[in-house]
Amino acid sequence: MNELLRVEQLRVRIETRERQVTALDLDHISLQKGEMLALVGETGSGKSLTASSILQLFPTAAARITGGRVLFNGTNLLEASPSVMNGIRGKEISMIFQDPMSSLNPVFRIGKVMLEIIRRYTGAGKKQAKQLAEESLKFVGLPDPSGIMRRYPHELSGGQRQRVAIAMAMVCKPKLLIADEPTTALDVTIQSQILYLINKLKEEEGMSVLFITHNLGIVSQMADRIAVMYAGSIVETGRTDEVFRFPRHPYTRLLLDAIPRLRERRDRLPVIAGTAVLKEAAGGQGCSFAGRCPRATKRCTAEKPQLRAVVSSHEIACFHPWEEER
Amino acid sequence: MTEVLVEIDNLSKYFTVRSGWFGASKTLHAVDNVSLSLHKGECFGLVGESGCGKSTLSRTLLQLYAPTSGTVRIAGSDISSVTRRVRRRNTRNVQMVFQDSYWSMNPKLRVGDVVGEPLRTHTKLSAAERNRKVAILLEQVGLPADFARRFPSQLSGGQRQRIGIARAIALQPELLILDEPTSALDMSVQAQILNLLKDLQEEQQLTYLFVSHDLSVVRHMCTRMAVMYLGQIVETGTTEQIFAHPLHPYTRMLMQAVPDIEGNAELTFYDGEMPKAIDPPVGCRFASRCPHVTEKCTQENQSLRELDGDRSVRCHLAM
Repeated sequence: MNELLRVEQLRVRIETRERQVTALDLDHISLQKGEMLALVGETGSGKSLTASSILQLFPTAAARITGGRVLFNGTNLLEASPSVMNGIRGKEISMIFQDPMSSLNPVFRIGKVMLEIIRRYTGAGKKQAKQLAEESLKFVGLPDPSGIMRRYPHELSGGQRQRVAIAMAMVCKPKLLIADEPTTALDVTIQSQILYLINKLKEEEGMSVLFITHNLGIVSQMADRIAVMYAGSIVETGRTDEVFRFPRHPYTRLLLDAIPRLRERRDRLPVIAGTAVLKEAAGGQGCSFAGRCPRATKRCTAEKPQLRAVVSSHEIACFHPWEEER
Repeated sequence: MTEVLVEIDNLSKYFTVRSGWFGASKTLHAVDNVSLSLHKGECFGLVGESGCGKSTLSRTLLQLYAPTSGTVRIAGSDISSVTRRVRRRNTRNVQMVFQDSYWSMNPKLRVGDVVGEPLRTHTKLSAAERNRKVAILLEQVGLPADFARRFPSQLSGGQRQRIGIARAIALQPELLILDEPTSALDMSVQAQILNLLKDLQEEQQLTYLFVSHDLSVVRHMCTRMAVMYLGQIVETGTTEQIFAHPLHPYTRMLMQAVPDIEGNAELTFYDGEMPKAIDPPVGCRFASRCPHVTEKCTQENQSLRELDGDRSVRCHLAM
């Protein structure tokens, strides 16, 4: 098997004075070498939290991993020492964010930040580091790399900044790139440039990509496999074309129906009734989607469905999945 | 025959920008000679990327900017030149729903006051009457009346957007400018808001100017549309026509760039970004990014040509 990343039974709790919730209760996801897995879900579904757990970088001190394993190339990152983790972050696993400003320091020129990263992770000399930086800026399609390196982040456009962030993320040739909504803040033509670039990294450098997004159009064009998240759990995962053609979990199907299409006009969009709540806040065991699900039965509110394979690699966590195609 | 509600005639809005303290001042052509008419009761889509001037255009309609030249007539009266009384009536007539409704609400006001504020400013209703009206408005946007006691920060994004819509329809305007009303929302919530907007439009015969960069949403909502690039309109027509046969190369580029779930699996790559609208070049403004560019494009100004069937396009190559 060529498995690069495997996350198993990962549980994350968020504990504040007001409330304690299990924000993430993830059965399993896996990512092969050179593959792109899209993690899809709405706000609060736990997709970004999954990414933070892999790198153990949480946006809040209230989040705590309470169980599970994150296997990266066979090593459990959750048991790795801080110094090992520091060697992995940025070098083996890189991350790009929705807002590239957040990964660029506004008071330093682009070049200074890039050279620091390169010299720290590769131990290259000044001259060699500069060459590496220019090469990677050229790879992401920025004309005049040495000019860009003299600029401050605010002097660049949003698309240029995201390219710089990607250049910084790939300069050490990581094995895994985590992209957290990298194009949400960009215009559509710029978005297509960035997507093209990420695809190129995957194809040419053999990089694995964990792509976090809520845009199902992007998923359909880019990802080899998809994992749909709802309220902290994976509800459906499989090959992208298969999940789109034959979504079996009621949530996935409703989600796909709710999107306006470019090539077809409908009078009204089907909606999903209610709002998402985490299981504990809803007060009970069972499936977290049960309260909004048109197919829910008594069993759904009493027992939590486990992720199980229906056909080959297509897995769902549901007692009453759809048996016919969309 | 369709009645025209808004008539925009050769509207331009320029800003003067200066680089540095002693730098030469330059002119930013935010909106350049735009002519449009919005029919009563329709949803008109305005599409373009950031910096194309769609926000400046909608702000001019709201009288937040005074036009540099050209006129805007809403329900027959010129919004910029007439008396204060008429201007005030126009203010009531045109309302706006913002992309992120959180930043357009005073966080210290309760929802009831947020929705009731336009009523307080523009009508002589008593406090009790206002509260009754607020309850009706909340019901119209699908929220329970007790939401009036809450603060904006206690609501979800979708609920806040409903509040933004309730506030906008409080004065029963004829024209509602919707500035990216769903781009900050989740997919399932977006569907709810789009359905609500459609229902309201039907019930109250509202006219919408739907500003968005999301083409699939525009396709879903709008009957006619215009595509803007660098302050100019490059293509107008009915949504059906434009989606079936986009004529301008920029419109085609936009459509191919949108990843659709049933779309082509090929990723298309277009180089370049939209330049700044400061002292725009002679000739076609899209020439620097156009895949079909010819010599004529960079030398001659392109004008918006009228075509059959209420369509126009700003490109000499388009037939």
